[in-house]
This record gives sequence, structure tokens and C-alpha cells, in this order.
Amino acid sequence: MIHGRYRGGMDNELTPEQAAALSPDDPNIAANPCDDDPESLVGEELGDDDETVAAVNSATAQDVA
Amino acid sequence: MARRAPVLAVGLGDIDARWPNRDRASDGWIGDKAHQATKSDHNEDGNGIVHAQDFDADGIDAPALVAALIAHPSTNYVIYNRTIWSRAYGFKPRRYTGSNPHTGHVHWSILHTAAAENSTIHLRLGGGAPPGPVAGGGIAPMPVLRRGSKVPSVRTLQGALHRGGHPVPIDGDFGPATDRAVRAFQSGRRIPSDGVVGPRTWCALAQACLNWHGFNTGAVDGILGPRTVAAILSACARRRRVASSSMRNASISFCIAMIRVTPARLTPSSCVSCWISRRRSMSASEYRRVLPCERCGLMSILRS
Repeated sequence: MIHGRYRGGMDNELTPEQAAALSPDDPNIAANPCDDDPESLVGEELGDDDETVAAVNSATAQDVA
Repeated sequence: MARRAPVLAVGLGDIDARWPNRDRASDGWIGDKAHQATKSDHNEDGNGIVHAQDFDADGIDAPALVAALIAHPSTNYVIYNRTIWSRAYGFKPRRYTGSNPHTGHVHWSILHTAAAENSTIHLRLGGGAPPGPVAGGGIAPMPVLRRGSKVPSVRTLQGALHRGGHPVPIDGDFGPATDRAVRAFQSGRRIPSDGVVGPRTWCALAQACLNWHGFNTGAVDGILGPRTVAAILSACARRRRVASSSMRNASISFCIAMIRVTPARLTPSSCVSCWISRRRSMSASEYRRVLPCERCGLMSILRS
């Protein structure tokens, strides 16, 4: 039984059997290649001159404005 | 039974509402077989809870999403475009060195606590109000003040100006002295020196207050960037306040309110609003002894 089907095709609960039966294309499945323990893969601090950081900062500022 | 933490579904709904036509190909919450061989929040924990959600970066404003996720109180870390914003580093952006650059999707990991997992707080993604109630929304925005204003917030402003290095008498009257102090504060922060205390000046004052309290906001520029948000959340955590997604909108008033509530309290005899009326400047060592007055609640100087 699948519980709490979510709009957009996602579920909120899956039995192990259901999860195992899902294809990689299923919207529930996080199929993006994943590193082991991502939180440990942290490098140098980035400044505001970094393009991504600047974009996020800009998005934040726009929200306030 | 693997169960997605409810807050992840709330966030997903917010994103779908904001960008209904977005690409969902890289969405997902429960890890595939490759994930199951790794330490990943996409794998269920001992309680069967999954603590991560991926969002496809196509068809959305990914930087705006990242900003909203960073500000969400449930967030533990966010990864996007070779960058990670982790609670462990105060949400300061750092290079993500993993093999997957996360250029095609945004990864959201949340804290492994019941409060974080079950939060109903929405993401602030702009484009209209989020659906449903937002905790903390009762915090009123700070009013725009200018010379002649005589409202309670003027005393808050005057207290904040002390943190900003421009002490004035705390008398609740936005008179010439307060006007000069505001203009001086603005001119040093690349804010138009017009004497009008609007959102950006309030934010800059809040940053000055946060920095004074040891929460690093980076530049005092009146721009509510991730560093300032992280500083606010750290300050809230220290005070055991419930941080909310509305914090970014309410943060200015919250920061200012923060300086009026601290653990220690003083007697009226030490109140700066009384004391400063006799002096117009404070030394650095005096600033370090500033504490709130039990009478007016504003920051006061503990006289030696």
C-alpha cells in the first residue's frame, strides 16, 4: 500500500519492496549520483565574488527589497 | 517503511506552486541503489525517515531556491553548483568538493530532529505569499522613521544607533541629534544619507547589532544576505527562540527586538537612556559592558 500520494507523482511513504521496485526514472527516486557523506566534502570558503554565491546573495536581497 | 520527512513535502509543494512548469526529472527523495551503499540523507535512518530532497534546477530560479532553503530553520545543508551551505559552517558558502557538482539539481538536507522533520514552515520563494500559515508571522515590520517621528520604535532606533557607533539620547524623539546620527551611520555604509530609516537602514543597524553581539554578518551594508540570515539564526538558536522561514522578512525587526532581550538585566540607575543624556560618547570598553535596563528594556551600560 502506498500512503500519502503527493501531487506531482511523489509518495510520502514507501515499503522497502515498493522502493526496490521503483525504476530510476520514478519521481520518488533520488537518482543523481551521490557522494559518500557529502557534508564532509567541504572545501574553502567562497567570497561574494563567486558567481553562485553572488547569485544567491542577490536573490536574498531581492526578497527583502 | 521509508517515510519522507514531512517538511520536505511542504518544500516541494512550495516549489511546485512557485514554478509549476519546472522540470522534475532530477527530483527525488529516497536514494537509489547507489545511494544505499553510501552515507546519505537520501537513505532512511533507524526510524525510517528520509532527510533529503533533490530538486531539478531547470525551470526554476535556483539561486532563489537556495536562498530560501538556507533561511529555512529545518535546513542542515544545501548543495548547488559546486557549493555547499552547511549549518556546521554557519551557512557560509564553501566549495563542495564531491564528485557530483550538483549543477543540475539542488540538494536539501534537513536536521535529524522531530521539530525539523515535522515543520510546516513554508519556503519563502517570492512571487506571492506562501500557502497556509507561517510561524513567526506576527512580527511586525519596523516602521519607516524620519525626523519628527515620535513612536516607540524611535527608542529602538536610538538603542541600535549605539551599536552602530553613533550614540544619541534614548528619549523616543527623532530630533536633530538622532537625525544627524542616522545620516552619519548611513554615510558610512554606502546607504543614501537621507536621514530616513527604511528597510535597508534598519537592516544595517541590525547587522551592526549582531556583529556587536559576536554574530558575524560580514559587511554592514543593509543587504540581508545569507551571512546575515545565518547570523540571525545563530542568534535565535542561542536564545532558544524558534526560528522560522518568515525570519528573512521579519529579521530586521527581530534583530532589533533581540537587543532588547538578553539574559542579564540592570537597575535603572545604570540605564543608558539616563546616563547618555549626560554624555554624548562611549568608549570601546564601555560598549563592551552594555546590558539591558530593567526599566526600559533598552541596552544600557554597566558603569564601573
